Amino acid sequence: MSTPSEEEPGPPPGEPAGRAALDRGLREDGRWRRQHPAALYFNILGSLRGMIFPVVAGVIAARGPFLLMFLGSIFALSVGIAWVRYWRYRYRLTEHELVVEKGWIYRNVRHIAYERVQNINITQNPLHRLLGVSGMQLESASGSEPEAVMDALAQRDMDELQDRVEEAKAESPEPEVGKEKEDGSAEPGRSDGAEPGMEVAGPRAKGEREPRRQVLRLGLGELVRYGLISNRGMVLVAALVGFLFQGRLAERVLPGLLGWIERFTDQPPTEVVEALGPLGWFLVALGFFLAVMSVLSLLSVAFAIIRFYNFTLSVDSKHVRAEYGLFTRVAITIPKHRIQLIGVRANPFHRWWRRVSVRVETAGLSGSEETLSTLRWLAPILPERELGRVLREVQPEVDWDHFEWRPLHPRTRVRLLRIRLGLVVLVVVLLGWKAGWGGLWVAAFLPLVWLYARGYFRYAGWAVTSTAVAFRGGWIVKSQSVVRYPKIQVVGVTRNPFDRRWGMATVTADTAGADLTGHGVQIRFMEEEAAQELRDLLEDKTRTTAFVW
Amino acid sequence: MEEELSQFRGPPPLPKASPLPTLADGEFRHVDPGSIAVGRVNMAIGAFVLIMIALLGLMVFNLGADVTRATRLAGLGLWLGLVPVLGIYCWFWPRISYRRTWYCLKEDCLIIRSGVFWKMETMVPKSRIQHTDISQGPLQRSYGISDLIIHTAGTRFAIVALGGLAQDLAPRLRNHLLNRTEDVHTL
Repeated sequence: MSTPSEEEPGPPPGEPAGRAALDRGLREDGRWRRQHPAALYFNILGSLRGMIFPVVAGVIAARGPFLLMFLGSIFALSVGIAWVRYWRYRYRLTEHELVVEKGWIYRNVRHIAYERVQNINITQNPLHRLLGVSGMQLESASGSEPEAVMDALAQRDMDELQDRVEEAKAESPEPEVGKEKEDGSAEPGRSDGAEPGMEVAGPRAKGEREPRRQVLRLGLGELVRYGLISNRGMVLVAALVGFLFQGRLAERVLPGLLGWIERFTDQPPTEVVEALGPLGWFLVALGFFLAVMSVLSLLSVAFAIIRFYNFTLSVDSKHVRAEYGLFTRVAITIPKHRIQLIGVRANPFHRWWRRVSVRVETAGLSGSEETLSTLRWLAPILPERELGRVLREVQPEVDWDHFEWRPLHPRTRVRLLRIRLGLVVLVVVLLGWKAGWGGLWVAAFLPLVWLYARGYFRYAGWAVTSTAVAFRGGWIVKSQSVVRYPKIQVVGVTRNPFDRRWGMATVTADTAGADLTGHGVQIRFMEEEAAQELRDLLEDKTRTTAFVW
Repeated sequence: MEEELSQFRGPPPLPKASPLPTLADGEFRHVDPGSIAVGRVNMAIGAFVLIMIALLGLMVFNLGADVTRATRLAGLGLWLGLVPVLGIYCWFWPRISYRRTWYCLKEDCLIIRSGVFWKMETMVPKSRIQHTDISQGPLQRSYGISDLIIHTAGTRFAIVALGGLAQDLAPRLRNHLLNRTEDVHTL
């Protein structure tokens, strides 16, 4: 650390002298720093983005010199705000913690102990890369948003921050990471004398970082497949259709379309419609559909490549790291122990290509897709044969190869079938009452119902190993969820009146940060005795372990 | 601390000084019977509001010009019928519900069984408790009843509530669950 006298930014002007003295005292173990000046530009851009609406309103409302003045003042305001924000944001790397000070009117000082830092997520968009800086989000276990966000940090400062955190972690190893405690290699104070060849991360000498192993790298072929499978273009279509109907655009588009047909074929549209006939129209519709679908697929593939380009997953003994992105590079590192649930999913397209997608749920940060701050995918797409290997790297303590799947209650199929049969019959009767025999077409769903009941029962099952509980289910989209016992928060057994009639029960292993719309360990249609057995097992396994985020 | 804490298991903290040598015995117990009375009064208030709303609805309905005498009488009969039905429901339901609610405190977890038609059993390990609340409404206070509410980090079971405990028992349960032995303030 440099001496206090060499500090580049002195205490911000306008502060009492006592404060300056205090600052000088504090600077003994770490100088105040600001972000890379690029942050200023990002801040200006950010403020300008926030002022788009006033600007648009101004442009619409005003003309001439007044408009110029208006735009000028808006620009000056953004620059002012950005400058204040940049100037008043400073941080310090002290011996044990990161101190962040920000704000002008309301000042805020935050102390974040290095050893409490869970993740340092790094993003680099093209502008960042041009300037040789990167954006950073720093997370500790608490709360729903990052503890510290920096827009631009020079590479050197970023490295230093990361080193500090790594050092602190190495000195006080997280007690929660499984195996290490048992063989005693994580005892505090033990020097870096771990036997060579041992995979276990013992405490390391200062500054030495455990090398990461690359577990997975997705090539372009995989990303194309991912794009085709995920087909995000469909979202666009849905939005477009909604827009068309809502904006009554259809009413305007249709006459235009007819007029276009008339000009193109030189005949009145009614005749064209007749001349084509039903088969012709079908072909036209089909062609149109195929054209739209292929454009959408292409778009989707492009999205996939832009988002997940060069997706790599790497691990060390304690962390999982994912890096991806074509224009905006993202690097997310999470401690393995933060993983609450691992979900493996495959829809028919996945199965056709023998692929799966692997999702993780991490507690704490419930960031949306945009905020980047949390790891969502161990692999957006993954060849099925690689699955075991990747999962073993991420959670070696789980016995991935030895799940003995146990079926649900044998009468599950009958129950599923009967409920839906009843529903179909009810609809047929109701329709028959209103529309006569015309309602019978609903009966066409019957084979589907049968297929569903059969398919669901065949695949569904649960399994327990010495370290984790697993549940799989689903018909068209098949999902599998695996939760390690220490991550189970509450065990619930529920029986509704139907369950009791059929002698069934639902067992839920609740986890933190679960996606309630997604698949989790909530096992319906279990045999009552099996449910009891599983409940007892989960009680034994969870109450004797402690939970750490 | 995520793996098995075998070295931390065994005797509970301060076993001799523990104020509740018999509480964590793994027996299933009912909550305080006073909760039946609380439930009855609570439900009666709800039922009264419902009956008044129904009466109001009946009066508005009767204002209609073309309502025959017969329909009016039928409406009145329906309303009169509502009173005993709700009365019976309010009287018996809290008792049935009370009889179907158990809790069981073990050395390292709490189990709650409840539900008349939808039966539910929840098991919360001590180590998963984030924080706890003890809450008491004015009605509960007059009957010496309070609720113990446990917050976990879970999602579907983020809140596990055990209602209708005797008010001096709730803090003891809480202390046991939080591994406290000192007598923290009660409500």
